[in-house]
Amino acid sequence: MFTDPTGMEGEGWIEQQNNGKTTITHVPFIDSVEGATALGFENVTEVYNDDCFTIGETNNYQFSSDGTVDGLGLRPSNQTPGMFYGYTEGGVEVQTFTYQEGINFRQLGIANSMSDLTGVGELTGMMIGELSQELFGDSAVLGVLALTLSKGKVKASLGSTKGAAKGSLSGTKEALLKVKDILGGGSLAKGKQGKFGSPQRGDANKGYRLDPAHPNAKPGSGEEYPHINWWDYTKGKRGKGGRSGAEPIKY
Amino acid sequence: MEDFKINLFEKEYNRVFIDFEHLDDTQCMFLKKCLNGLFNNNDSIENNLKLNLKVISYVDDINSLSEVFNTLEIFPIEKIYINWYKFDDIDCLYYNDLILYFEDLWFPSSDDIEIFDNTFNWILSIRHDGCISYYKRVMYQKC
Repeated sequence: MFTDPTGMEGEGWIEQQNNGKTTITHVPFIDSVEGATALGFENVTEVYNDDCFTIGETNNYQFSSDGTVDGLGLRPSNQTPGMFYGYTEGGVEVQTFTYQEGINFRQLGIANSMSDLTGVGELTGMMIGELSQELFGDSAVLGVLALTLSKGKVKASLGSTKGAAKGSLSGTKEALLKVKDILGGGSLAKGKQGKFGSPQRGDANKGYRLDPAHPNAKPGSGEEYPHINWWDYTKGKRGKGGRSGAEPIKY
Repeated sequence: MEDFKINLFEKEYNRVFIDFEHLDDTQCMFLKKCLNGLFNNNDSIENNLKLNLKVISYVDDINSLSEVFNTLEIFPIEKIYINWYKFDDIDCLYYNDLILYFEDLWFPSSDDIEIFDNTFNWILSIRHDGCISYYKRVMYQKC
């Protein structure tokens, strides 16, 4: 049983379709197609947010919102630290995570729409080119990015998240812990989505929201990076006891 | 309008909250349709806002929101609208109250709002980080 240490449990299973292949990946925070796309997942057809659901195959696999799947054997991936994967009888690839350093969901989301990164971990030259283009295509906003080829496997890592849609899971988790600490600890109830589909907890009075870096963010502000906005106006508006901020996700 | 904002206002100023009207779904839909005409294309209002807004300033860099309107030569009519969420949560209030009590209406980090009026000739967007951007219809005059 895997549990979500971020306390933002209950969010999405991302379904991707590519050339007849279906991949379903559990990513905490994400509860909308827009959110998954913003994270870098391509060809997203659905994001499931129910506490428990099945995908209509004869073997009634039970997908739970905490990232577990009943009825499906999962094995650890050699390619992506912390990831477990398996295949349903109908051929759907299922990916879920424990929480370790180095998970790059953007790379994973792109790879899911091109090839089986988890099962084989080998990409053809053309695929490497596509992945490189996809990643370097964003280099203007992603900052320094290293792409290396090792034993036929592509490894990508970001030198900076400035301008990026998201940071690493560990970076996000670290920022979230800081925000929770600022707000007095603990999780808040799931709230309505942010303006562009960002997952949000709490309400307008007190809450936090995972956001991508924003164009035209004020230089030096946390909004230049993927960030978690937080606010607490239970004691007053800004300057009268109210507090707010943006905790940057810098890796 | 969020209840907590009304409570904070009344507590701070020791007076009733400013006049405002919360619009119903039909009114919101109507306004959204009218605003679509501002951009003169068939794209959605959401996409138009994403693609066409120009940054003018930041909340922390101005003394009053009226500075922005003056700079842009936008002269709102008596009542303006504030869109709080996806154009299905809209309040109508006096422009003068918006200027006077902006800090009691827009709360940083939390609020992403759009402001417009019944002319549908302009729209001002204030992002949660204070980034202020706008779109204004190009007006042609006869020579």
